[in-house]
Amino acid sequence: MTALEKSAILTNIKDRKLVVSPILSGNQIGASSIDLRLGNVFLMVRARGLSHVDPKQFAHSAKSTADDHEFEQAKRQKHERHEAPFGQRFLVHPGMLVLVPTLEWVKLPDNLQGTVTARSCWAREGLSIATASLIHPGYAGIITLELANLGQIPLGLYPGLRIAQIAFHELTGPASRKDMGSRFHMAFEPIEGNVSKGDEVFLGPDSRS
Amino acid sequence: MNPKEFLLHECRNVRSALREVLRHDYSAGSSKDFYTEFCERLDFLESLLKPVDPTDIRMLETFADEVSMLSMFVHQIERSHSGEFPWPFTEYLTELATPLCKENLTQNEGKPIIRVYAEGGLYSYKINLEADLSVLNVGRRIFTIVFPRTLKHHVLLHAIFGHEVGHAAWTIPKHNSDLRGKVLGPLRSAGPLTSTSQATHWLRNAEAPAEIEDLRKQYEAEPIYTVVDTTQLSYWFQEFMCDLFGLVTFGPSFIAAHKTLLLALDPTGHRWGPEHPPYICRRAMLWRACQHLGWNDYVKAVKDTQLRSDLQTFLETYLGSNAPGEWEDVFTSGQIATALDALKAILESVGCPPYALPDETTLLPLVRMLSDGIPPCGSDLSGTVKPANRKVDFRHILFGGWVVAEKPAARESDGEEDEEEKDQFLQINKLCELGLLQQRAIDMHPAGKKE
Repeated sequence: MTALEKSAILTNIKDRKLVVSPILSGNQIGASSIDLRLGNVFLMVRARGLSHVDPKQFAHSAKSTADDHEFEQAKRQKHERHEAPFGQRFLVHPGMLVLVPTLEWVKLPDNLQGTVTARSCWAREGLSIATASLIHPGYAGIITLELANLGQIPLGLYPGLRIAQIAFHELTGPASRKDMGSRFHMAFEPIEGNVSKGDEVFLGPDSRS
Repeated sequence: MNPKEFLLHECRNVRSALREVLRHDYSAGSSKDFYTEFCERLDFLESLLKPVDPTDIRMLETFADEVSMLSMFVHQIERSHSGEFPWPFTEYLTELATPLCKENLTQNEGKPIIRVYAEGGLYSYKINLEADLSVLNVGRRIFTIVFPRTLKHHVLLHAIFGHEVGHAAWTIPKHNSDLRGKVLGPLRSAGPLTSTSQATHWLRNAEAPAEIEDLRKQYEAEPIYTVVDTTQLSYWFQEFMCDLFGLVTFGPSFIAAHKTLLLALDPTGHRWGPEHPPYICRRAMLWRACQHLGWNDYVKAVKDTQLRSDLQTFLETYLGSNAPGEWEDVFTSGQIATALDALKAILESVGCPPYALPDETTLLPLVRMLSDGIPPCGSDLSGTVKPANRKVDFRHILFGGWVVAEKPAARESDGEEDEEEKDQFLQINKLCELGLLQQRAIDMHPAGKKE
């Protein structure tokens, strides 16, 4: 796997293989990465939401119908969703986890993988970004950033700020289309994942049966 | 507690609720304007109410209405969560409408206070401008924008707000006389709707579609109905005027939203009532208006064959290629041309520029971005070291969205999408919604402002 330097990134963009849109200024493009800006949706755990995350509950969901009130309610009550227009501040308190989208729409070809990391200036303030940092080949959508404040004081964030960066790595060959399928394909905003998908066998008997 | 004491008590309740709703996000922007305005209205109301004789029933009734109205405004803030409507679209819409709704009032240059919330139902699309300044003699009107809650992401359909902006303009005295005289004047000057008797005769015409006839008979069977009266005709003409307003302010995306929403509510296009003329007559008027605006020539001049073909599909879908039928064709091309030109002049005079069709170099990239599953905006995708992003009118983004929405499935299906992902119309709307947000960022950024 080879990391792409600036000219290779720009060539991929020029050839319409790679899309990062919009890039608001030239200084957003670094030696081997592109800075990503904060989008305008904030998904944070609700204080009076779920008592804990149980993979079994997600497994239950996989079998449930749309009218499964209990599951849907628990899922919706887990997070608070906020939308902040440009210019509006959102405070990330110490110990808090917030899911946010990037402003940019990212589209990767089948031979590139993205790696998202924090911008060092924000990392020094205690902001941890992208704990799940791999972006798979073929992905298209906003990128969900998992923000956590590891410092001692709250951090004020504003939509549009550059807070993360994405680097690109060329695969030894194109990924197969079958492997590229993802639950988050064409993601428009952060959504919760399914921590039990494919592992249901380890979760014991279905409590409903 | 007598009525006067209760009204004073309710004023305190409204004030308390006003403070309470500061917990909520007030749409896109600050809550300060709204809070200050309503504190002043409450102060003034209390000062007027305190000296009122508790036995003065008429005065107390007036004040009860005022308190009730303030209470209603404050309560609606609780439904004004910015997560329930597309605020980038709202910001663009308010920028479009504000110059039109600006008045020679005492405060804040006469700019209205914008209030946005979402309601249930397809009929929810509304723009209300406080009609008459109340007895509280306030300095600013409240401008309310209401979105249908279920259509939060459907920015393409939100082009219907062009019609609603027309209703808002109608309530402003300085525009009302111009709109009545210069826009409706030509429309009322000839044709079957020039008088109530002619309109009644027209509805009874043997050429009228069967559904029109059936509905007329139903109405005539009701003892209170007097076939067509001046009030009905006045409402109908206001609707025609607002349709032209939508066309002039939003362009092609208005035509598409208009047809999609109105036919969803009335699939025959023949329903009519005291407040709304039949859709087929409105469509006929818009067809002639688009001829006058030269849309067909615009499409023919497009060089890119795929785009030209897509635009032709769009026009055929939303306007139709044939001239309207004789019965529903209630205005001549000349009448419509005069009305349209007058309306454009009115808009230009207040700094609210009418929509101008984009040149090909603007529309084509938007359509291509959408077809490639990328949010459409003025983003430079050429891979240059210093991206040259462009300012793009938000209405061009909506136009591009409608053009692509009419194309066969733009994205290849890998068979693993959920129901929402398979809904192409929703996906295109979401892409356009995100495109509007990104365009907002481009417009704000210093690099974008220079261009």
